[in-house]
Amino acid sequence: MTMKTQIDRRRFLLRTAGASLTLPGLTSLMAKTTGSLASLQATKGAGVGARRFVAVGNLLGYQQKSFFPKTAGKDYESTTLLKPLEGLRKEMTVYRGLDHGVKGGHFAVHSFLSGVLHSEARDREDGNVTIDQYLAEKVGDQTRFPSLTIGSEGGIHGGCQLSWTRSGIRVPPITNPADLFDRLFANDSPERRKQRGKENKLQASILDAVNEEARGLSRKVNKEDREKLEEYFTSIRDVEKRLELRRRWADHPKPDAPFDKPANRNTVDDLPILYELMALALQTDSTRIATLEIGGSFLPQHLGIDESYHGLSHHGNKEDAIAHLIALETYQIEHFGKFLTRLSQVKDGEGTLLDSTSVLFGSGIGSGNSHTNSDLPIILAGGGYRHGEFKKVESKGLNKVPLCNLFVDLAQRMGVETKSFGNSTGSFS
Amino acid sequence: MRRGLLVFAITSGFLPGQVGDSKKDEGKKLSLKSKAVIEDFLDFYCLDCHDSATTKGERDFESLILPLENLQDLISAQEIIDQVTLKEMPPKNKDQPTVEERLQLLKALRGEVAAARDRFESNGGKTVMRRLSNREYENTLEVLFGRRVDTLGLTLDFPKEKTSHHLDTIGESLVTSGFLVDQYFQSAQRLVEKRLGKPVMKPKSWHFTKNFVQYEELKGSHRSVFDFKYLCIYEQPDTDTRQGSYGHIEDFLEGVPVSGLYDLEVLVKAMHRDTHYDSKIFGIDFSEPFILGVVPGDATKGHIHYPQRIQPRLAQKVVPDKDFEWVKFQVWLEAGQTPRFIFPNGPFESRRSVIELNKRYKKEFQNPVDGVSRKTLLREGKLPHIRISEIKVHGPLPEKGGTLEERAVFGPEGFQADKALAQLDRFAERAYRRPLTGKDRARLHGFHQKRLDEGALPRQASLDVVKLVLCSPSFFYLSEITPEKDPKLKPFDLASRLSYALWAGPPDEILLSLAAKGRLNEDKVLRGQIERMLSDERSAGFVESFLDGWLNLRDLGSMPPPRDRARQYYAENWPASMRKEVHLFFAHALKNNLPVMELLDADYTFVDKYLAGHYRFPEASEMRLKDGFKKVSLPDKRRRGGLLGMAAVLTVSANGVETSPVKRGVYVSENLLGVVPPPPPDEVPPVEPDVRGATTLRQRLAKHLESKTCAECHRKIDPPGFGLEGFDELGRWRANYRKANKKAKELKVDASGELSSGESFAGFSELRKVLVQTRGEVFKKHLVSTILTHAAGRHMEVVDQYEIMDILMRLEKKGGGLRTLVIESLVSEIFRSR
Repeated sequence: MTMKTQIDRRRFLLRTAGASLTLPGLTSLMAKTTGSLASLQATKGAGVGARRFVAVGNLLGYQQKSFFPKTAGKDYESTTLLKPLEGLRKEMTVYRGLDHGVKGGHFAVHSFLSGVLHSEARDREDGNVTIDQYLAEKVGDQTRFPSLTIGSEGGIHGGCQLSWTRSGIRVPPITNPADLFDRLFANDSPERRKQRGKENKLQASILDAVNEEARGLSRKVNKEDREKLEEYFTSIRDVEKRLELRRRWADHPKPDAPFDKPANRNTVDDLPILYELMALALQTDSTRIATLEIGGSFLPQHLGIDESYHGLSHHGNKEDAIAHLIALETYQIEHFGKFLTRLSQVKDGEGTLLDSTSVLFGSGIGSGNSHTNSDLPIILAGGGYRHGEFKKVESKGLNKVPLCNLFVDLAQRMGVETKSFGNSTGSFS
Repeated sequence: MRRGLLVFAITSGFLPGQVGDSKKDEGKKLSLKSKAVIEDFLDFYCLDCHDSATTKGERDFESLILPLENLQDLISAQEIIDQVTLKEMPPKNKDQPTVEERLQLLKALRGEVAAARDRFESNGGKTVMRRLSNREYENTLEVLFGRRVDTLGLTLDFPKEKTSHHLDTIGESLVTSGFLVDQYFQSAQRLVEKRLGKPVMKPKSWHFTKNFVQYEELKGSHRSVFDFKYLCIYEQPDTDTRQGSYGHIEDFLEGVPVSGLYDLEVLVKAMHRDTHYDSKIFGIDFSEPFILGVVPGDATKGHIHYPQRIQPRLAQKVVPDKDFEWVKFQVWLEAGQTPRFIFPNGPFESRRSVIELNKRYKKEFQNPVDGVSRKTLLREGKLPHIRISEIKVHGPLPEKGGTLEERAVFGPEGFQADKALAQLDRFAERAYRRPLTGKDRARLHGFHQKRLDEGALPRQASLDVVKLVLCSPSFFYLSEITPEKDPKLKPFDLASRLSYALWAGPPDEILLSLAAKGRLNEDKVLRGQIERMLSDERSAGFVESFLDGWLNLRDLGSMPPPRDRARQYYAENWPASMRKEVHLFFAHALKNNLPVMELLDADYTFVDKYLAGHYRFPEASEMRLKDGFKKVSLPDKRRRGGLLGMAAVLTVSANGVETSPVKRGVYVSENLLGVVPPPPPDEVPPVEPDVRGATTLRQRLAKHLESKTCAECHRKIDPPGFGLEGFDELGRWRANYRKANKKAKELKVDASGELSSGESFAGFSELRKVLVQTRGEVFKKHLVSTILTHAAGRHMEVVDQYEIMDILMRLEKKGGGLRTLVIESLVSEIFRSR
């Protein structure tokens, strides 16, 4: 490691240790540090200018009154919650009126990226697959990780549960920066790689054997058990795919780590570093699809607010509760803004990383106070779209525009030729 | 008097065969009469709202057909019985039936339900083939390998278990996914290689006497004061600011070379437990000796001085106060793990106390400093901490006749290449919990040969087969196959169902041999086995896993209070004591077959020193921590006694910050009475603001009752929650609410209320009395139903109510004890069928 990066790393560590007070400078500092690292630049190649997708969702929504502007169009006024994004106006679009038409309060938050409730997914061909996993199926095979799912494991009534596979399985998130860092950068020693190769082979033979055993079992089990066994066969096929992927990437070393492994603290203090790692994952073309769920582990106490987040969300129009919520939400939006800025500062072919990454931000909850899943807060940034507007769309009646229509656009932009997704009625544009 | 009547009413209608036994034409007359009673009652009191046109609450009783023939009508009939019994319907503002009318209706309707039994029973619920829950999976491996496996963190990367009504044993919800199946292999690989994959090593000794470098921020002062001669632990583990909460050995970062038992000797002293500094700064109990705990650490898996994912408590001892003394531990460490020391009852956030001490006691020091420096405090002051000066590690300790794992997996002689196949068969039989079939053998032997052909050494080939067994569906599924029309479990499946129900682990030799002899299905044998299993200490598996589900104790600790508001919660590990109280209380009733209703109202409970303090019991002053828990009688039954007065229940039904009568009300209703309130509507009108903290939540919730739509449900949900308002979010008794801000006035707690059925109560003890008197049967019914659900791995359906009523009948007849309740539940057809 050169002297310069050593110093940078020290500064980086000092900055993170100082918690939120010093955070404003963090992202730009890291962008500089990592942007100039030759190793990161070198790992690009096939990935230059490739289409990417990021989604960020939270568990309890954003205060609609403080989030949405009033005036539609380019000249929309800034609002309390959009203020941190003021400098990014030209890079993003704010939408109002979009939702999935589902109900269930907390129990429906998990439909944010699918448009479909898990409980109603059974008879649908694509189940309640979420847009990130849908895209990962189509384009994910070009990177080491078809997708990265990051964030809180739990939260009230199960949490955000942002990502779901076609077979109705929730994709478990990577919950902390240290683990995410390891996945992205920790390389095995040559011996360990050899060992892993052997393990993969052993696992493949074991899969064959248990598959055979399960087929025998499926002839004997009672009728109520068949479906359960089918679940198992799907799982085996899934692991086979994973093994294939592991084999393919086994000999490609991971990119060098730009800084030391971060320590885990809590989701509040870790939010900036999670965003930074996500940016690095895109920049190094380790993945092209990532999600971040801000759920039950985002505890207000780490921002000095001694109340429960969920308790606050039913604010009953109490001023102090709303003020607390605004503080929590502003923090989330600030760091989202820094993430966008960070992406916009990385060159990617002719444009920037932000130009090639569509970033969706929002929540499956409209108003936390009254448990609604309608009128969701939605921001779309980057991705090479023409931005800069506040768009109000028809939210009721025959001309209602479902949020899934926007997902269709997102898919098309990723090069996936589809005319529908979830409960879409067409494409958005 | 009323209670007697109710019990009579509830039980009599469900006497099995009561109606069926009566002579035919007499029965016909009866049924005609009951039909008239029911129709009149419905017509007069119910159909205004619940007719086919209005169907209020989506209930339509106009279309109800008697005698009962379809499932929907059976469900309706059950609902009517429940609502009328509890007097929740008809609603207060409508005409009320007389007591006589109610009883007549109940009798008639119950008769109808009982008479319809044969029509429904054959299509009862079936348990969907279920896999082991993560908890059961770990327990099973522990038995198969003969030793604790929590040091390996095998299930840490498993997808989080999906619970259903808080239970983690429901086949339908226990999803198998690619993530999990992948993890099964990773887990088997790690377990087998770490425990059996390395050659036995001769014991080695290490001795560390210096260079105890610790956290970055401690370096300066530790260097200048004692040149890293001591390892100091300053605070309880897992604080927010982390300064000296994990003591590691800097010269032993590589950890032990192989997994094994290691002797650990530590020269240690408790420093300044008698400090004259204000004890409030530390927030701990200085009357108790300091405790030194050992947890594993792995420098390759994360920062060695931070909390890590795998760190079960390996051992703990009291630290001597007077002089440095050698304290000995014996701990199990996995290859690569290094021991780390913790101070579980240590001060709260050392960093903060250091800043405060430097400021407050400045005058006492010759060389005062500001801020976080410990220099002066360590040189001149009396900073309480644990100080270690030498550490010896010795191991792995040889085990007679080979390691536990070697003997557990391969048998008493250990691995024998010439008997490999027989040894593997034996292991697979234990893992599959049944005799092997020819196909099983062929598969395992074939795999063994394949590995040999691929060049694996004989021992390695066997280890790989062990991994295959641990990835096999016969291992992690409870498949429970029977002929389609005869749902009765076969003996081996019954053995497994029993053991996972009562031990949360695999069946032992006795159960398996009874299954092999085909005798387990005999009633007498089955009862005998249930008795034996309940008396076995492994039944703690049932107590823990059942209470985690039934009372949702699993979530205890997941919503911690702000540190500043409840330091003791952390320093004294309250969640552990809270949970233990419930375990001991339930186990005590189970062991002594005490009346089921004592669960709700008892004049004793179990506390350790911390809990006694938490409850402000007089015993707190004389109890010592080392004595653990003891049974205390509660002469003053006002505040404690029974589950509802227990801190665990009161904490898990709040959110760590504040209480909500709605949330606690839902908890009582769902978890104790089995009535799941409907979810809130999509549009909830907001509760009015209270900017100045001038009103209590009760006053704001009054809205619920003013608004008709809210009142519909909240008059049922909220009342028990109001009765529990005398307890704060951690179960502490309170007379006033915490002030919203300094200027706000103190608001008094009002714990009075009125159940929707009309019984009013002034506070907690009256609420408890009312619940025992009027909800006893509902409580028992739900308890039986939850035990069956948990044990059989499926939710109860409406037709299961017949058998549940049979169980309740037998329970009454046999004295109403908790042990009887469990036994009668497990000898039922519901439990014994697939």
